[in-house]
Amino acid sequence: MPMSSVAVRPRLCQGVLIVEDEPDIRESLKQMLEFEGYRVWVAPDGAKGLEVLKQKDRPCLVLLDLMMPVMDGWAFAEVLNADSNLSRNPVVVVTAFADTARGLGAQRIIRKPFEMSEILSVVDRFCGKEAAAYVH
Amino acid sequence: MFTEHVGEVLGEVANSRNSAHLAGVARLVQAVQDLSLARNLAAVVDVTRHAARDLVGAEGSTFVLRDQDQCYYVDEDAIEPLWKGKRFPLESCVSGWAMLNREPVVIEDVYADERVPTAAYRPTFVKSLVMVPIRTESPIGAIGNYWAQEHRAEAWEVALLQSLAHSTSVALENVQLYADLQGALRASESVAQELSRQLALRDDFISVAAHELRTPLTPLLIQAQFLERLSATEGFDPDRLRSELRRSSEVSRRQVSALSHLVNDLLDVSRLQLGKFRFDFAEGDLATAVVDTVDSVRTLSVAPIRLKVEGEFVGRWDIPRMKQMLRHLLLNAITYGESKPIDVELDVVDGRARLSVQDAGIGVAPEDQERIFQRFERASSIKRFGGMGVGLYLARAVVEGHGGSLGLRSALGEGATFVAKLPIRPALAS
Repeated sequence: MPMSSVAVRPRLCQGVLIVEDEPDIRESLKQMLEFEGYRVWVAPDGAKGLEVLKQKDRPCLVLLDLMMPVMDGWAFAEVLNADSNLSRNPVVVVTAFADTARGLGAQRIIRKPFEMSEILSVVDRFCGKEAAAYVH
Repeated sequence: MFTEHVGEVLGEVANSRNSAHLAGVARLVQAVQDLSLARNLAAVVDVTRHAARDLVGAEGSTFVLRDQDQCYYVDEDAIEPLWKGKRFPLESCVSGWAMLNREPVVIEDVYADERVPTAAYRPTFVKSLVMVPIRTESPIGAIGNYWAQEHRAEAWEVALLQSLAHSTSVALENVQLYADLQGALRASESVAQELSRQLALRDDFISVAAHELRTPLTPLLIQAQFLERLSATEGFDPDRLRSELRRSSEVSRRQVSALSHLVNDLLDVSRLQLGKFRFDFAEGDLATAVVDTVDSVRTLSVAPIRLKVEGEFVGRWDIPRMKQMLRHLLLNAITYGESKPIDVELDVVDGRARLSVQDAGIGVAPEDQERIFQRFERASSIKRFGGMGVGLYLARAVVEGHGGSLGLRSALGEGATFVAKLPIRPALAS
């Protein structure tokens, strides 16, 4: 089960991984989240995203686009769900194809174009002050 | 004319108590009914040739159709073979006489009548005959009845036969109408099928186009909201503020430009469909246009784009259209190139400019290589790759508008190379 309990999340998670192939969406999100004080990793496709998640120092939340070259979001989620270590990472799908995102095991589905407040509140919940309250 | 009296004679026949007359009328009624069900020429011929012989108890019957200036003996029903499959000149046979004179022929002795080509009758059993035209206004054929013994056909026999010929004529017209109707139905069905295929393609395109138009809105919206937050933040370091603002304005400008390209492409697709895709040729340098275009898409590509230019390319070009063409080839290479390096080369081969864009990505299967140049077509799933499916369609139109050709060399999994060959001074522009 991906993140059914916040208590199992690693203690020092203060960052977000953005897996998005469109450079300006990726960089704008990064700019915004960094401005809000989060640490941000970026990956242009699912395969690069998995590499980031396998690092020791890794993010605690994935913002995942679906339609991408090399490895798309559906394939990325499949690998994640099959790996008990990786599946503990909460995933929020950010897509224009919200209808096709069900069944991916995502914590949330956000439809593009989105209100930034929606992204910020979900990031805050998993990585921010709100989340920190649950981390012992 | 005899045919005008057919009704009168038939009336007398029907009222008579002569069993041969009544059997003839009954057979005629049966034939009329059968003819009404006939849906093709073969069925009409079949009903007619048997009924003709039965009506008056003749020893043979023939079904003749007029084929321009010939009489074509289509079929027969006789005790011995007559002329099935043969053709005779209209002017020199009895069926021809009946058609040309638009009235029945009654001949008691075929060897004593100058209208009869006796050579044709000598190998047959025929001694006497009756011939009636099919359709009295400009006849299209004739029905013949034959006897081996000398027989003078009576008015009732001729009337029955002529009446059968009228019904045959109506049946033939029905067959034609039916065939026309079937043809029209088939045509309308295939038009409807093509129309629904086009509509489905267009529906897909509209949803894809809507998605493509919405894509630039996401970073624009993020930037607008970012600027709002930025403006609400006090005491910001001026250097950092400047750098954040510069990043914002760069993203916004790029996305507005992307939106404007998308809208122009949509309009161009419509112009191409309407035959209003115009070119504006002027003196210019293709090499500069290629360098500029490659630079303008670099930020969109994760992979490096390597550019090699060799030669002089000052000529007559529609430079904005050439940029549009190359931009589409590059976007295609970025989309399907799997983030591997892209090579752009411009050189001169046989006095023509050769522009090639090579990626090392997923490639195109042979069966898709022509199709992808068509409007709204794509070789890969929309789930993995965006795009409206019009880039290569527009690129080819631009190259062909310059009198050149745009081709593709590719195999699945082995990347793709698009090559445009262009006359440096197109003949059509001079």
